[in-house]
Amino acid sequence: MCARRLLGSRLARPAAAASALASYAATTAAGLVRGSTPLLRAGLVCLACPLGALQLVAASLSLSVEAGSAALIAAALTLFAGRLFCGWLCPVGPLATEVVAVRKSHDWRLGAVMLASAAASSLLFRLPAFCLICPVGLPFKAVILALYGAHPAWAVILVLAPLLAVALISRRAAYWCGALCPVGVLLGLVGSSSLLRVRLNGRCTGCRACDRACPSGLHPASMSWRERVACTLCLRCLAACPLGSLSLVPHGKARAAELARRKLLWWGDHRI
Amino acid sequence: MKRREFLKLLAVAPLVPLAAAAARAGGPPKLVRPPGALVEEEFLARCARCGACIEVCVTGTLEPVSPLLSLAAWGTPMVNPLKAPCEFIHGRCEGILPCVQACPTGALMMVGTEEIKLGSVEWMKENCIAYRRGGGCLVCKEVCPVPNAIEVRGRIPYFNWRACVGCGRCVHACPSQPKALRLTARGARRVRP
Repeated sequence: MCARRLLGSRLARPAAAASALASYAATTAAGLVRGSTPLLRAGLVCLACPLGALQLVAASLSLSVEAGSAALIAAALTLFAGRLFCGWLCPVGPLATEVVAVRKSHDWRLGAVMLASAAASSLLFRLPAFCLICPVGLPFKAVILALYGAHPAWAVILVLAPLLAVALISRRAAYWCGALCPVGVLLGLVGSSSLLRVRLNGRCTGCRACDRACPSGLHPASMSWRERVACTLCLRCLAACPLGSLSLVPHGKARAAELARRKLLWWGDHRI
Repeated sequence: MKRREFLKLLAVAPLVPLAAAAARAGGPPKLVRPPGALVEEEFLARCARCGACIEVCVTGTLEPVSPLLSLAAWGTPMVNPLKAPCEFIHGRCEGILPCVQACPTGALMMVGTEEIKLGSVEWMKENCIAYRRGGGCLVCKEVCPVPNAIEVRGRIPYFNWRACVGCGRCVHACPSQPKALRLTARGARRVRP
């Protein structure tokens, strides 16, 4: 119950995202993590932004072993955890969209258009095009710029501008993370059937509290794979459900108990 | 989302190609790159702008290109001899090139010391102490690792841009204010993929 209250707090996601960026800055300054978006490396473990890797392939028509394996690791993590990065670790989404009233949307067709246009522009102009303006990646780059001699104003601009842009777009046009972000759409497409995803693991009375809580305007209690692409795993629905019937884990205890109960109801009479 | 609204939002989509086109306008920038850098076109395509080379730079000469300098190249590494020289020759990095080893995408390639030429220095004699006083100083000659890049005639240094490898030691050491030397990409030898 305590964990659920923590999930429901408006501060939880901004705090998680801010501390993720802060710990990136600290480990980078300490020399433990090398590189920034779209390619990070800590010791032998490397991690790439899937969209960044895709654009590098499109721009240079080649892929180094390190970048390829880093993208594979990211894909594997996404197959496991879905868009948990979007909901909790992205340096802009959780920070910008918790503080403004977003225009709910999970129509990610435009995000798919952005994704295609990022790949096509990279191919055409021979550079990772979306990386130049990517709101997800710029705050990480700000750390490198701040640490290695750029004017401090750049760091401030590169952190604040994406936050403002995402907040403004989410408020005026449509929820950035749910409908527009090409990085999110790519992660969502890879992880639409991830192991961790919002599932109904108990009784549902149809009160629609989860619908009201969802910033993407989804119905978390039952989602098709197309709708799951837009689910950022912000977990507001988990906190909102009055019965606590929604969970991330596959076949939780409640689900097992419910299945056992149904089996008993169905088979009970015949067995005895 | 309604169709009209969707079409309105669709106007955002050309933002990415527009940004890329704006970045590409004016051709590839002429920047002094780290050792082993691919030819500029190929370098811009392969460099992930992750900054790993900048972080491992032993001397601290590498810095990220500012967005004001070039949109297409911002975040990519460049050599700034005002901060420190590049020690790929007769220095701590000779034969090791930590920046090249750190590059995850192959935008920097391992090359032999004798094949590296980052660029060359440009001499602005109106700032040169030796030239103005009719001789002396010669700190540049003292620190230069290449035997025939700086020729001293009448106690005034003359710079041979063909022999210069562009390590930037002379620029870093030049005591004149403003500096009499500037590192440029002229004559840089870049790797073909």
